[in-house]
Amino acid sequence: MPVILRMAFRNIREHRSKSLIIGLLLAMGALILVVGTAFINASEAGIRSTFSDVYTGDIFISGVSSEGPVSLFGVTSVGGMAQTPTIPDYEKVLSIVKSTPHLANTSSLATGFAMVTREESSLPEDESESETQPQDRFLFLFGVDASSYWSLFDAVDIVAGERLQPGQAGLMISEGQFAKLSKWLKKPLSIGDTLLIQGFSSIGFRLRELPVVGVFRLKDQGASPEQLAYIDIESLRVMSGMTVGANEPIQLKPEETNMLSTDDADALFGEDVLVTSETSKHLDVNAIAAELSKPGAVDPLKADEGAWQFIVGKADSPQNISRTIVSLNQSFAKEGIQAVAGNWQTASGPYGQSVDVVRIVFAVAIIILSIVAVIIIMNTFLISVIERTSEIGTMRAIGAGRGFVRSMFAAESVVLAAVSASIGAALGLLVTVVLRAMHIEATNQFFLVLFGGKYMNPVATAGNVLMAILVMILVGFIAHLYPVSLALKIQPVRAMQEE
Amino acid sequence: MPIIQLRSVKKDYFLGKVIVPAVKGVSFSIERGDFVSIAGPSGSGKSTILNMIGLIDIPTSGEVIIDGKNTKGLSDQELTRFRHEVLGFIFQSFNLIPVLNVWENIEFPLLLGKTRLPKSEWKEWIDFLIGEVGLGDWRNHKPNELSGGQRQRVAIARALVTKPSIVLADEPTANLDSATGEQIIDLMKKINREIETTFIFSTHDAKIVNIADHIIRLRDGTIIENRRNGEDITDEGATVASAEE
Repeated sequence: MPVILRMAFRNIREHRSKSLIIGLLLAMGALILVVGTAFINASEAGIRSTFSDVYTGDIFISGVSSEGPVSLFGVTSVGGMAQTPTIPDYEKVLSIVKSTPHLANTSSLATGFAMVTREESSLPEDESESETQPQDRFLFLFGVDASSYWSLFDAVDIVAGERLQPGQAGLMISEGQFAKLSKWLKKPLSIGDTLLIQGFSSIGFRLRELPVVGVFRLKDQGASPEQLAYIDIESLRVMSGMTVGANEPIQLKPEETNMLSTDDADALFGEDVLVTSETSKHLDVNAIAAELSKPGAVDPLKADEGAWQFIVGKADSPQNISRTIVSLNQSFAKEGIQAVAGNWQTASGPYGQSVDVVRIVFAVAIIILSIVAVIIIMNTFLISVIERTSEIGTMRAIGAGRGFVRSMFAAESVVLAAVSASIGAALGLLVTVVLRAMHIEATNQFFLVLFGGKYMNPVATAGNVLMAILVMILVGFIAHLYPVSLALKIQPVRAMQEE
Repeated sequence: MPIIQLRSVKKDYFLGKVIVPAVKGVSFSIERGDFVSIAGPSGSGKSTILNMIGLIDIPTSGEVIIDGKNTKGLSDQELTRFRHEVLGFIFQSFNLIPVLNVWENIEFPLLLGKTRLPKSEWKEWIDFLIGEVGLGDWRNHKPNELSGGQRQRVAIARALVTKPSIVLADEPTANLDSATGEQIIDLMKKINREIETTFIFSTHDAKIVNIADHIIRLRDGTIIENRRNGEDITDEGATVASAEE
């Protein structure tokens, strides 16, 4: 073994107390790095799989908004009221998507928000709402194309009822939300019951009565909210104000029909305006039905078929995701279409960015920890240099150059850092294994995000362990630079001075 | 040609703003292979002169010529190389490297750069030196397991391992009892005779001064006696008092 390494090992052993202080700090740093990155890995992998398996797929295509980035959750804008754009020139975008290699499976989608509401008169007056929270009635609506969506996302188990079928109007809600709504509505809900839904978007509120066709449970509960609900796309378009001027069959009560068919505006304010016998004769229902049945007439189910906000899809292999996104964006740019393709993180918007937030917070914590460690280690090295002034002077006197002294201290700090960091990283690995074995359950949304799923499942990779060791070696190396610069200033004549 | 020549060497130290003259312009020569003693009481300047000959301290003025080479103006790197190749050091406090054993301490200077000794001969030479200083049974011991006398023997072997032309010993007996001190001086003298290395040691012990072939006595930074083989050579290497004095 080269003399420098031999001396490094022995000096570390010789100055045990100082080595212990430095070693403990470096080991602790490596341990925190390994465990921390294991959590981040799990969180990122968990969130990624939750989002890509349940909502976003691998590839996400949306329109472009000048207000801010577009995600499944709408437009992240300053005021928060920007409308989610529909995909412009949908047919062309779809043909580009279909002709893009590696993009095997796609489905179109639109999203919106709604609250379940009720007629207050239907409840006893003394009933209090304090038992339920507003979010218990909130629905995050996924307006899906049932003909392709379920084959793309096999993410739900049906607990009651069935999945939405193509052309079927209705709502699928989660098991948890189903129970909460039953409680709030003061009656046991069952499949086929209708819910009064108040949709809200940037252009106002829309009310709609929809039957519950199914109750589902997500296969991977992960960080998915209970408020997720699937709705037929036509109903969603109505709720989200995407059907302005479109053909939507509206069920009117006879008196409302009478009112609308009157041609006397003054009569609207008269007492006899809603007399059915006088107004009904002006409405020829048969004529309207005949008109609708003509070839080329507007088919309610096909109306607005171009009004989709998103196309989500899965690549044939994870390696092809990035290149497919690039290829799609190039095609959109070439065709001059204001659409953009992104990955699951783009699709998940602020939720997906929580991974980055956790990563940044962790990185800042590690930087602060490293600075503190560098200062403490530097001071300890400094004491060591002062105590060894005579030894360094002797070496210099008998022919050791500055390079030798520098190498000697560098070897000591690197050996100490490598050994301590390896021990710390090994302990960190052990901690992650133990934590995984303990099967700790996430008790709230924060931990669901942090754990990346229902259970704490930190995963440390060989890369993380190596990175932790290298970072701590770097910390040790940086910490030794100032003390060694002082050691290099020690003149050989100091060897002559009494210790 | 003398192996060492000092010409009007002065050394001043600063004590705050006060200049303290440690060596007041001395000139002398030392012949190759001599066993030289620089003697004098504490503060007479003997260690300062030894440090300047050892190139670990630089004169304020004057010249130090070693092995025919004027050392004035040499860079730190050149001085280091010169020390390694030409000089060996024995310190008052032994100054062994605590983490290395006897054999490794002696070997250490060989690892610091080029030496005139081929690597294949290192082991044999170190073993010879260990034998010479009488530490054959202690080769694997660390310095803290040795007595003061044994440590100084290790230091002597270490000083000789690169086969230097000159070995400098700064009060090598100061931390030893008188009997051990005498043994150390005898050992140095024996090696001086055997391998013809020039030995220069400083001491204030009158008993061991007289063992030397060449005695240089100092007082207050000036030479008061310069005697070689019983012959006064003060005229040849005259003490030159500084002009200020």
